Amino acid sequence: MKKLGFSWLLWVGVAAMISSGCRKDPLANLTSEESRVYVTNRDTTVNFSSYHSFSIVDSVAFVNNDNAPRRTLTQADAAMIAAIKAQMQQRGYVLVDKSQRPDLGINVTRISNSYVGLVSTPGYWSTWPGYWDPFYWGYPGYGYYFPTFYSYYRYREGSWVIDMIDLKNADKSGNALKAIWNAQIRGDAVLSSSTVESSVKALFDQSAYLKAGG
Amino acid sequence: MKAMKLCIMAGLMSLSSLHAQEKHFLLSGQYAFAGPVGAFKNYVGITSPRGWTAEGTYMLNNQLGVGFSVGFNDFYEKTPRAVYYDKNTAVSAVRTNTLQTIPLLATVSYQWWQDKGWVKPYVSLGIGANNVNYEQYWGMFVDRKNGWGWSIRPLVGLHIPFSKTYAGAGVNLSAQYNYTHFSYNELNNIQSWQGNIGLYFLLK
Repeated sequence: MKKLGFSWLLWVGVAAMISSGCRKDPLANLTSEESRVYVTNRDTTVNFSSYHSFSIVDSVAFVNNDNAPRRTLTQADAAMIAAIKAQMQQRGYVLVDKSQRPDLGINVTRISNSYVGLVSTPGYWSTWPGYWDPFYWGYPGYGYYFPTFYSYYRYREGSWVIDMIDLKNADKSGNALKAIWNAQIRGDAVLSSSTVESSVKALFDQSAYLKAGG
Repeated sequence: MKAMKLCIMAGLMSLSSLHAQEKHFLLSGQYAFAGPVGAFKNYVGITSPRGWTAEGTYMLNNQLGVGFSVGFNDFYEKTPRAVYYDKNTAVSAVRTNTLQTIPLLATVSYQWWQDKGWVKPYVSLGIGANNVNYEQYWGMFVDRKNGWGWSIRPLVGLHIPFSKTYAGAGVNLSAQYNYTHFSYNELNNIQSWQGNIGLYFLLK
């Protein structure tokens, strides 16, 4: 009986070993570019052609698990802001200073070392001071309103989050600025300035509705 | 290829661990390849070359046997970058769909067995539980679900002795259909066909 028991232990051991060893590892078969995921969410009730001008933040909100959120302007941050400006202008939107009452405001957030699950609203960082600054857009006392359609995928590396807010109708929205478009860039090396331009292009390529009216 | 070689080794190693420890046993270990059937094709559309099975059967007589079967299959398909739309959301990703199964089955088999002879056909039915590991990768981000489902597999096979005068060992060829009750996301039960090739030993 002792001999038989040892035999079955071996069998189970072989099964366990092979269960892992026989597998083809998905992550080992991905390039850095293939590891990246581009997510966009839109408010389908909005006609994006009804907006004509936009402004974008002059620095990036940086969020991580260890420090309080703060504004930064690294080389990658500047590249991100420039890439978004270029794509928006290609779609016909006119870049103006925030003092000129733009129709759209664009916030950019860089997130590092965070862990977020599948949820239907923006991540926990959205309530942190610094992530969202209504003062910047000239609406002190306003909250930040996300429709419930946003979905986030789990990740554990750096990522970018871009929010487009409706300033044109801010006065009608009851002390809350409404986000009408949201984008996320996740995956390997996304925080490197060398990947920013292609990542932003991917976001706009999958958002054909982003087009200024005539 | 490395994973495939490991699977072949596994089938043979399982034999060495069991060999010569019980009498009146039919022991076999096989390399296995499997392909999706039905709706499972929508998740993984290509044949998996990574699998193995091992079985031990206690012969009640020369024809009828009862036993136990264990195995492993790894399904994998990588899809080039595409944009997936869902209501208000669009996701651009290289998607890799994977699924691993480890069936643990009780078996009953009937074999046209004679002391002398050449090819010996047999049929077998296995019923039990299957551990299913679902992992769908969006780029490097995974949606994972591990669970158990009841499983059934009918099988037809051939024992081909090494020698016409000695039927105690030989090559085992078989084909089977697998059904596992398991649903998650786009998966709605798992069906596959499977081919096996390996060795058997009859311990009298």
